[in-house]
Formats: sequence, C-alpha cells, structure tokens
Amino acid sequence: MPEAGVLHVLADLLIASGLALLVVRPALWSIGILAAQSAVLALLAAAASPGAAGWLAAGTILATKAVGIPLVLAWAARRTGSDDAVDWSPGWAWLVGAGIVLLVRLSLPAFSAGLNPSHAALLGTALVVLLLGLAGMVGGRHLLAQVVHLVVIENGLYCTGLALTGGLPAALELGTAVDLLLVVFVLSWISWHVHRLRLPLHVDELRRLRG
Amino acid sequence: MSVLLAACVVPFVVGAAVPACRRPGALRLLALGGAVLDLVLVVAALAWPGGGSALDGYIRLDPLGRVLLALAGGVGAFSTGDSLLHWADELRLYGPEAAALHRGVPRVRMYFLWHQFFLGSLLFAAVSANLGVSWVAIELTTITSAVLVGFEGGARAMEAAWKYVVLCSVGLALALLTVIVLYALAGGGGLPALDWTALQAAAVHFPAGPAKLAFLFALVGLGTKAGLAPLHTWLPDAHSEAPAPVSALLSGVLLATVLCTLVRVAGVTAGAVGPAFPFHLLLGAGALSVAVATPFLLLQDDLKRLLAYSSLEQVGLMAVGFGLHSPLAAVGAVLQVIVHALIKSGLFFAAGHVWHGVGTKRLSRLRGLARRAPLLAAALAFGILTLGGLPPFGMFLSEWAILQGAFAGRPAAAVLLLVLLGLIFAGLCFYVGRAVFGAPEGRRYRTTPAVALVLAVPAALSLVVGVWVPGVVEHGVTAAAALLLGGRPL
Repeated sequence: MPEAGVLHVLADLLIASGLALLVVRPALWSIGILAAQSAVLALLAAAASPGAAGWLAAGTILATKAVGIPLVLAWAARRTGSDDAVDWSPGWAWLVGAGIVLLVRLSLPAFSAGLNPSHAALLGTALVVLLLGLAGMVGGRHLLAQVVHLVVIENGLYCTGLALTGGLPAALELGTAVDLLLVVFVLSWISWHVHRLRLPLHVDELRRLRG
Repeated sequence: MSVLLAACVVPFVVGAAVPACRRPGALRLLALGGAVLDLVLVVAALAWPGGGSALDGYIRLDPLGRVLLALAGGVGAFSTGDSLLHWADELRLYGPEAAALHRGVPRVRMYFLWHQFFLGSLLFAAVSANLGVSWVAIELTTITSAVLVGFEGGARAMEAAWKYVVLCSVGLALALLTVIVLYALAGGGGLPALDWTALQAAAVHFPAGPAKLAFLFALVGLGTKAGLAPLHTWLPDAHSEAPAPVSALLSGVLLATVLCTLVRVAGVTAGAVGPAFPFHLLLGAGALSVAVATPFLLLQDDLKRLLAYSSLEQVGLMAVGFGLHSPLAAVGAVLQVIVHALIKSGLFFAAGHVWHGVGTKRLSRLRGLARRAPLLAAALAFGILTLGGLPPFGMFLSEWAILQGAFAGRPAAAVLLLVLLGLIFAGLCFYVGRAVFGAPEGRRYRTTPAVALVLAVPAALSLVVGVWVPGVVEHGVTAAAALLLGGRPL
C-alpha cells in the first residue's frame, strides 16, 4: 500500500470524479472525466502493487480504460451527434451521489472490521465508486451515459479487488479489461445503429419489446 | 496443441478466415468444413484419454465439462448448418437487402464471423476449470452474441441487443465481486487459486459471512446471465430477436453453461457454510423462474417469444433440480440440461424456417401447418410434447427425477411445481396445436432434405438420450451430477 497521504488524495479524486460524472451533462466532458478517473485508478494500481505486477496493471488500465474506452466513446458520441447531449443524467443524481458517500462513510467501520486502515479506506472508496456507477446506470437517460457508468462500476470493482486482495491475477485483470473494452465497443456500435435508424438515444425509447 | 484446445480454437480460426471468403461457395465450404472438423475434434477430445486438459489445466474435461462440451460442440455444429440454410432463405427472400454490405463486408460474412467467435467462446466457457477463466469466457459470450442478437438491424433487434449487453454486463460485474471475494478468502496466490478443485478444497476454511456474500453476488450476477427470474427481462427479447440458429445456441447451451457455473459456486459456498444456504436460494430462484414464465407462456402471440419463455421455465426447472440438492434431482437436472439443449435448438431451428417459409411468427396467424409445412409441424409438435415431459419423449425421465426429488424433500413445492408445469404444458399445447392443426391459411412451404436433417437429428437424439439413456450418457450424467453436488459419489 502507498503511504496514507497519497492514498487519500487518489481515493478522493476517484470519488470526486464519480460524483462529477453524475452531474456533468455534455457527453464529451463526461468522457474526459471518465478518462481522468481511469488514469487515477492506474496510478493507484501502480502505487498499491509493488514491482512489475503494479506497472503491468497500471499499463493495462491506462491502455484500455484511460485511452481505449474514452476514444471509442468519443467516436460514438460524435457519430451519433451526442457531443453536447443534455439528457445525460437526471437532475436529482447529485443528491443520490452525496447520499451514497455519506452512507458508505458512516457504515464503513461495520463492514471493514479486520482490515488494516489503508485497505479499509480503499474498500470504502471502492464501494462509493461502485454505487455511484450503479446510481448513474439506473438514473442515466442517455444510452452512452449508461456505458460511461458501466465503466465506473468496473473501476469500483477494480478498487474492491485492490482493497481485498492487493490485486487480482494479472491474466484475469487483462481479461476483464479487454472484455470491458469490447463491451464498450459493442455498445457504441449498437448506439450508432440506433442513431442510423433515426431513433433518439434515450432509454425511454427501449420499450418496444413487451410481454 | 491438445485436442481439447484445438476443439475450442477451431471456431475462432474459422471466424477469422470468413472475411477472406470472396465467393459464396467458399464461405459454405469453410463454415461446413469448420463445423465438421470441430465436431470431430470435440468427439476426439471426449473419447481420447489424453484430450482432457490444456492451457496448464485452465481448461479441463471434468465430468461436467464433458457434458457441456458435447452439447456446445453438437448444437454448435447444427447451428452452423442451420445458419447456412437461414442465409440461403434470407438471400432468396430479401435478395439485395440481405446481401447488403456492412462496413464494406457482406452481412452474411459478418454473421458467420461473429457466429464462430460466439461458438468458440461458448466452448471455452464449457470446459473452463477455473472461476476466473469462466468469468472471462462468459463475458466474451455476451460480447460475441450481442452482435448477433442485434444482427437483423431493426429497432426491435437493437433494443434487444442493448438490453442484453447492459443487463448481462452489470450482472457479470456483480459476479466479478464473487471472484474477488473468493480469491481473497482463498488467500490469493495467482490464477490457480481460482481453480474449481482448489476452491472446493479451500472452502472449508472460509468464514461464513463473506462466503455467503460471495454466493449472493453470484446468484444475482450469474443468475442474470443464466436468465433466472427476476433478472430475466433481457432473455425473451434477445432470444426472440436473434436469428434462429443463434437463439438455439443462446437458449440450448449458453443458459445451461452459466447455470452450471452458478451451481459450482453454490458447491464452493456449501463447503464453507453447508448446503442449505446456497441451494435453498437456488431452489427459490428456480421456482420463481417457473412461476414468472407461466403467465407469459399462457398469453403469448409470438412463436419465438413462446420458446424463449419456455427457456426461462426450463432453466428454472434445472435450478430447482440442482437446488433440491438430492442425488436423484441433480441427475434429473443434468439430464434436463442435455435434452433441453437438443430439443430447444431443434424448436428454434423450426421456428426460423416457419418465419421464412410461412411469413409470420405470430401465433394468432399461424394455422394449418400440418398441411402447409408437414415437417415443420411435426418438429414443433414433437418439441412441445418433449417439453411437456410426456412419455415416451425425452424429458419424461428428467422431469420425473426432478419431481421425485421434490416430492421426497418438499412435497408442497412439488405440488405447486406440478400445477405450474401442467399450466405451461396446456398453454404450449394450445398455441402449437392451433398452429399445427388449425384450418390452413396462406402459402405452402416445401422443406428441403437439409432442413429435414437439422430438424430431425436433434429431435431423434433427444428421444434416444431421454428414453433409452445409453450407458455412456448415464455414466456422464451421474458423474456430472456428483461433481455439482460437491464431488460425493451418488
């Protein structure tokens, strides 16, 4: 684990970016914040795991989540005319985000018993990021907003792995990162097709299939 | 390269070679040749003593892997064959539209590329011997099959594909928490720590609370991907909008593969906290799935959605069989997995040919198939009677074993299950009976010998496997059931 000061700064940056993603509207801004969050996660991975394993994890995260996924999302946003979409997330999302931060901070001692303080703090951050991602996923009205928050969920999961295990096996980390990149690619491809059908990229439009 | 690894890799090689096939004949040859080669390799891996393990043991033919590999290889080969017939019909009926370019590549080639990638990822998921590898392979099946679910390109297909990827990805993200928690409980040590055998051995030392939490994440996460209620909402959409040969793989093989992974996590959890907690939850999720499917099967107007909701019911019944945690019910559940894969794939193939041959899949407009398309009518009738569990059809033995297990352990639940199964059977008989025997309306459809082959072989196999139960199948089913119950002999 890195020294407590560095850990706190990186953890706070992860939470701040997660909250920002709930309130920032223009798509390209959101994608930029996601890239920044993933870059912070890469720094955390490098700091938390000593030696080659840490650098490998950081490199994987940088290549897939901080560069690859934002590029694919930016491409999708431009091709679907969603660069400055205003129906990105609901207005109440920031309130839910603040509630999540408060709830996890208050309940952290109960579920982190037995962990050392650094791991406990990281677990708290991981749960906040994970829940912010889930809240964004549920509340997000734009299709690409759901994709952004899916990546936030994965970032929270990575943090959880770091807090509980010190890092998952390298092959598994690589597999999950590549799978996520492919998922984002497929979702971007679908959103582009939806746009080509002249349908709005809005979750409320997904109600044709019933019964 | 071992035979097992070759069997898993061949579809990826075939898929990668598809874009290079400039002529339709070459594509047909590649797809058919690849399917036959892969089937031969699967049979060789199953029969050859040295074909049991590859990639340092990350993929392995344990008893469950044998069952799932046989299903993925067999249904996969027939799905490839039916895909050729599907595209022949598409090109005949919709000509220029069906042959249109997609990103510079004809759609038919894109289809076969993704179909083969899907099949390859399914084969890896079937024989994975490691929880981490299983997770990656299952997520890969989502990605490769999502393109196929949305392949028709219309608004409905895109909606189905979107829901499928988003819900299953969120579900699998939760399932990743299971991997993380179990890896932490096992004390780390790299990917081998997530080997099923190693996890099973280490589970006795896991503390109860985190082990239960890990199973809950798996139940929600893998349960979503397996189509268990109440997280099944993507299933009827994806299975009904995908091209029929893809629906066959999704419904017949993928659901069962993911369910078996969930049962394996239940087995690990049982090692830590005893069988009651994980298997009772599995039983509840299974019973709920059967109950949720019932009204949708009774009020349905789309043939493929009818089959999709039947898959929800069937996967629920399998979960009930495993959840009862009795040897008899577990054997019944594994047999149900096999017969369902065979019969449901045949039913989806038939539904695809009904759509192409008769021009509708709306049940209210399907009438008199017995005269208009006798072979399709026979395939549908045979499939529905099998799904109903009537003797002498293939599911009689498996459903009988599950119900016997239920009556022995939970009589009230067994009676409820029997009532639901009866209602479902009545609904299926009503809709399919009307479609088959009603007054003929519309044009006739001549079935080619190739269509007859892809419909008849899975049906005949389901009859053989479910009624006669050859020795090799009986041994395989018993061993797989024993493995899923924690390795104890039955």
